[in-house]
Amino acid sequence: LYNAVRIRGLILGVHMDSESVEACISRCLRGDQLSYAALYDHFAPIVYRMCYSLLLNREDAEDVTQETFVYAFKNMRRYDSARSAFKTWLFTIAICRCRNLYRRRRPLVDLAGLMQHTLHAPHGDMPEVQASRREAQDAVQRALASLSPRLREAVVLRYGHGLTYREMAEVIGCPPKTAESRVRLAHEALRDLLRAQGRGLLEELVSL
Amino acid sequence: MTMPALQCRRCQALLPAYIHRELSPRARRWVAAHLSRCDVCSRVYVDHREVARSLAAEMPAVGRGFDRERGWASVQARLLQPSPPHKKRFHKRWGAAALLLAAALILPSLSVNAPRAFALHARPPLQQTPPVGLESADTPALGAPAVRVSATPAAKIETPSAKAITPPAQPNYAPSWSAQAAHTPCGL
Repeated sequence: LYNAVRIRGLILGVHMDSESVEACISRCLRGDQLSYAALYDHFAPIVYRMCYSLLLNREDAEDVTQETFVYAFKNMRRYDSARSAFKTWLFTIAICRCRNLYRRRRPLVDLAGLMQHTLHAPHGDMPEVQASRREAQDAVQRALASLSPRLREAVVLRYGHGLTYREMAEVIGCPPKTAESRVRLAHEALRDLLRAQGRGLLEELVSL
Repeated sequence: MTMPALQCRRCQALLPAYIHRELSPRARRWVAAHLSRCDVCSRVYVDHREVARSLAAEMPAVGRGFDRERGWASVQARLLQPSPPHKKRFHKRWGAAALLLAAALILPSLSVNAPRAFALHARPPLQQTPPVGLESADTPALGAPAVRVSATPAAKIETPSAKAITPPAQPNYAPSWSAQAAHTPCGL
């Protein structure tokens, strides 16, 4: 049964638009176990990515992702599709737990550990391009680590997940203008740090 | 022509929102018009655009490589666990409320007014106790002159017979105001 759940979940979870998400949620509320798996397969990588970008720690991000889904599945009836998208609701739950972790553990960012988790470039790229991409990745993660948690949240939601200022405000729990000003402050903080890196990478890619 | 610094500051504050296409059409037109005229703001705009570009290119890759199988297994395990009993927390809450209520009832009696309240309660029995010396001194059987006696130091001039029948001093004994007033040395 577990494998059947996984296979169906993976099939359903590949591409889910908002309508199929709603249908999945209503099936969950009727007690369909497979729909839970489908929702998890679709949203867990997204939630994990957000948690990892905020916490920059693999174990913590996995824990928070699991907690988020356990809470969401137990409280599915509280979700109101008229108020927010399911992804936004999950982000709201996850960000609360991430904030609890910031408060409990300082400093939360371990730069040495961070370097071990840098991502590898896709296969097939030339070694120079791979090296440049790795450098760019490292630079972005260092930049994230240098930001305050509030500004990091704004950057992660905007650039990592493409949320609008209104959606960001909903997740962060602030007015849209505050979300906008946090993005601006983060931009200003990152401008000096990333400008040189971005230009270098761009020039390198153009010249290759 | 140099732009006023105020306009440049306003434009630069709007640049991230301009890049993200989150401005109203009117504000967007204003920023575009300002950028076409102001070199300083145009350079800042290019910087912001580079930041946005590198973040948009690299951020989605941060945190990839999630282990779905392991995560789902532990989510399932945690969902199957019995939820912690809420009863205890409920009792705790009501226990705290009951404590607060009890404190609210008890504290006023221990507050600043409490000594006054005790004094008011304590005074009437003391006033009701008759001055012992008066009663004994007025008894004709002893044949002593009718001298009003009280336990105040001013009453130390009484006769020895009157003194003899005065009961031994009690620790909580206090003379009443009326008795004291009657024996003031100036006769008031």
